Amino acid sequence: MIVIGLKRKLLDRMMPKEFGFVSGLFHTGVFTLQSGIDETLGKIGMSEYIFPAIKESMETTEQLGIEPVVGENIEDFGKRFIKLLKSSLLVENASLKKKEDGSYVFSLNNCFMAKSAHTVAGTKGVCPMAMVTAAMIEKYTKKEVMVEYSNLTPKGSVTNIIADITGPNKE
Amino acid sequence: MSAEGIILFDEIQEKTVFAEVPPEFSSTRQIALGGMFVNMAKRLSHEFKAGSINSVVISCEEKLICISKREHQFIIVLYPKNENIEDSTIIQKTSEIFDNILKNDKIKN
Repeated sequence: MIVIGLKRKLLDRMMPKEFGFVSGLFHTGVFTLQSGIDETLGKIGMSEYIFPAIKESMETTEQLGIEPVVGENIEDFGKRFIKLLKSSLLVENASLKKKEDGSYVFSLNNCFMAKSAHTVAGTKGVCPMAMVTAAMIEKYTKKEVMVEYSNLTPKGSVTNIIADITGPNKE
Repeated sequence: MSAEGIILFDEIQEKTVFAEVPPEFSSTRQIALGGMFVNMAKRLSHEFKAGSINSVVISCEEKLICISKREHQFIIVLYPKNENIEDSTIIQKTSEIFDNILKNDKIKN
């Protein structure tokens, strides 16, 4: 933990401001695509086109020599994914909490990209890592999942993810 | 003229609330396309200041697809195209199917 903390501090100092701008441009692309799909096809389009691709991509970790992220259930996935995010030095901490109504809250704390990304790309969008989490919640719960726009701050993001627990199972 | 498939999309819930389609058209993606098309049609109508959608008829080589709206729900009905039928007849038939579906207790309003 101490090593990761030191590495992160070093990274913060070493990375040029230009990196922040580039990550902002990356987020601009993601947020624009999200809102474009949302406006033309609706949230149903977001989940039907983006989630399947994410689920498939999650299987590729081993090709990069990374510990598999796909776990036995959503709790197991949450632990693995948060560990991965912290090891990547992207965030200082993250959490995935299940609320009493069955919805989830995914938070990134002190995200390395947040300040620049959310400045360049604006604050209307779904955090890309929350999209990943939402796709995986759908995978494990087998329920239709809806993602609300993230609360994007200079330090991170908080995203509500709603799984339709009363609806039919998704194939 | 009988319907081959029926999808009911609720614009408030933003989800498909009922679907009865042949197995070859029953993937979640195929069913979701009904809702996506409704959203796209609403967008088109909005952009051209055409007002609220009443109905849409898509006449294809092999099939007819008719969309009709009732309050906050849209029905998408798939018909085989084995004869030339007036659009108004298709819309009327779709409306009747809609009435029958709404009587079904399984549909959440």
